[in-house]
Amino acid sequence: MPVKGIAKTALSRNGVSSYVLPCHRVVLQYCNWGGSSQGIRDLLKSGQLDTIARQRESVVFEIARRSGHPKLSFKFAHDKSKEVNIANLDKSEIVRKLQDNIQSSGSELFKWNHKVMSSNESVRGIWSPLHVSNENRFKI
Amino acid sequence: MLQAMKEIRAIGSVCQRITPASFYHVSRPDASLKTTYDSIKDYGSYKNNIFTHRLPESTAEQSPLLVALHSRLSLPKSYSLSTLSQALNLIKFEGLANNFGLNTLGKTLLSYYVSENLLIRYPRLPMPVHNLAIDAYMGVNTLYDIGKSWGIEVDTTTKLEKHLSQEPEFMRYGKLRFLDESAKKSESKEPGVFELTQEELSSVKNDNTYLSREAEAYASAVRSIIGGLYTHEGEEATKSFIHSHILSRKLPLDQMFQFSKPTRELVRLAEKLQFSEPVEIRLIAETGRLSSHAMYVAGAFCGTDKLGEGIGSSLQEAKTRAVVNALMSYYLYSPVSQDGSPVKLPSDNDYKFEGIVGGGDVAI
Repeated sequence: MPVKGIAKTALSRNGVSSYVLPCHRVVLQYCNWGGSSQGIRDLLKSGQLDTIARQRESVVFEIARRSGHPKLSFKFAHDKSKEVNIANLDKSEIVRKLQDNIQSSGSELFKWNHKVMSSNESVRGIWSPLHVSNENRFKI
Repeated sequence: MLQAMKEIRAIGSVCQRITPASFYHVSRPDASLKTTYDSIKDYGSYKNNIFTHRLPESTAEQSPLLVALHSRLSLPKSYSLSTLSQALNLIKFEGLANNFGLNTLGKTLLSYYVSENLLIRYPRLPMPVHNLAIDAYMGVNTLYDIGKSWGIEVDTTTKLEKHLSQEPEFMRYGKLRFLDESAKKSESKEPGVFELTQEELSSVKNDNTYLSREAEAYASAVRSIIGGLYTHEGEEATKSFIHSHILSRKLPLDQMFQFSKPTRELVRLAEKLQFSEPVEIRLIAETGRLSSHAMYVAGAFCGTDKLGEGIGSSLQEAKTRAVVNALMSYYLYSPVSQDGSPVKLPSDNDYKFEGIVGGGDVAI
């Protein structure tokens, strides 16, 4: 057997020649009675949510009435989800939270201590001291 | 002798009675489709009597999941939501048309465009790696991943649960439907623990991996969506969809080779390609044998031509890396056209063959 293969799956590169929004569902949960839901009740009454939903046609908007503090739950691709507490926030702040999180990838935030993050190899390669021409080498 | 012949004949007749030979090799129509025909040889008269109907477009329009999925994939206007809903339906016996045909269509289109791309772009790929590369682009696991990233949801609630939560009926038309009522109830409640069905158990391989029914269902839905695009928009749109969603993924081809005897393979390859001079491994540079961490650079040469180069911390390692590098640079060759762009594919307009045809694998 000359050469065998190793099974791999092709890596996803969302945004290379096609882009699919990772966020696919938003649940807006509010309470009809509690004071902390005042902002979201204002938002629902104002009809501003209709405009947002029309702009974001690729996201399913769901409104749920439940007791307790209001929250926004976002569902992302690959079963990732995020919950945002919007208790005591006013209308404009809730809209900002909504727009911010719809654009998010749903991944956990993390610190990256390197200059480049890429799934591709460096085009130039790594500098090697062993390939420097003879006269320029370090002499002991 | 005569006695033995009689026995054989007797055994033969028994066998014939139990399992007629025709049972083995003749494909029979699926009995659940209730196929009827005037005469078995008159294929035009074959007709399935199972009752199915397509979801009315007005019902499909009311499903927010379908509208959102349509928009998320930026499908053209002509792609009807009822087709999208059909692509997500794998259940045969509910009266609604399922995705069997769309799936077959999508699979055929996918395998054409993926293999065309690989054969033209990587003409020298060895057969085992080529097959795995096709799997890497359009295998069940990859399509499952794509289906998940498109945000397709599975219909996991039973009819009773739907009734109790007052969920509108058309919500389920936008979900992936492959579980029957009994399977939905037996959902395991423990996170990370899965109860395998009988068919999943039979697909468990030696390395303890198996294809879950969910993965197969997602893959089938993705293929069917592609098949649906072909039925509504035709070949050009399907091709560009496959190129932008499937072939735009990064294929780690350099990690997909496993050489057992690389040096011998390189020598055989050189023989096959009729190189004028023998293949030699030469030392190019080293840090010195007595340095604390010795490094060596070896090169695989054919006369004055360097075929490959490798760095290693022992002579043997450097040599093997050099040989593997030479083999990979041969196998992963990708032709470019005269203006430097990738060569045209057979399905492109005014295609003229530019690349090369691979010479086949070498034997060791």
